[in-house]
Amino acid sequence: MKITTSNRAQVMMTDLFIALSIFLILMIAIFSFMMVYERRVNSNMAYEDMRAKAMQIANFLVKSPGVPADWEYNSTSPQAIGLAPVPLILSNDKVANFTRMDYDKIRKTFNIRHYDFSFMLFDLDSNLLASKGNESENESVSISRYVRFNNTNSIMLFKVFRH
Amino acid sequence: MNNKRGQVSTEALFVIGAIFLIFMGIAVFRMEKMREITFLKQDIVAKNACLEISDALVQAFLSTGSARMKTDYSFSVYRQVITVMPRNITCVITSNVVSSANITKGFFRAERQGETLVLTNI
Repeated sequence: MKITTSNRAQVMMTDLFIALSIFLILMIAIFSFMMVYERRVNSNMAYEDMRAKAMQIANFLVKSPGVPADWEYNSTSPQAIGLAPVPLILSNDKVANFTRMDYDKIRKTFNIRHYDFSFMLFDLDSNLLASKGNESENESVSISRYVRFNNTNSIMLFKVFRH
Repeated sequence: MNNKRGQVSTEALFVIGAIFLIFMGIAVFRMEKMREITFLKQDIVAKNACLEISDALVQAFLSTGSARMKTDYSFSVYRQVITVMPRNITCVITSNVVSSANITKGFFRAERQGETLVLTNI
């Protein structure tokens, strides 16, 4: 086919539009990938923060009696909550007082005001012995520890999740 | 004929100019993004360091006694919030047992005194 001068210009414009479209699609793909990546990095950082908090709290609960050590008999808020007068052996009184405490007061003591938590204590047959807090479908980190409670081997489950 | 060739060359110059401007824009955007990524990398490293410090302090409190530790960052503790310098990255200690302190990069001592963990530079 013989291309006249005016036809040649039309062909160039079509080429230009195709090239521009491909370029724009590529640019949009690159920018959206960058945005998704950034969001994923931030979400990963938040997850690590949650994991560290859950781990610290779970360890403190099963390894420390709390501060003060007899906080369960005081009416004032404890400085730090611990449930184990002896590491990994939980006290009945401490657990009972902990489950009776105000949920927000516990969160404040744990310094986790931006998160929710749930605490559960099971025996090895999965019977629930004590619990505090609510379950949620949100992203969560769960830490479990084998402990002694009421002279039986038990599992303490501590979960931190987003609001 | 000469006249037409002159027009083509103006169009070509215009297209080259437009492409040049687009690539300049992309280059500026890329530089800005690279700067953001560098800061983000520094923030992630500092945040991890902050969480490690927080963990180490709680462990030191639970193990009763005194521990000698090393930090790659200067940090301060105030009201159970650890602030890691120089980008002021923060994280919290989940138990109110660590006294306020300003610790410089290097070795420091964490010593349990009664119900409090006291931090001092060595």
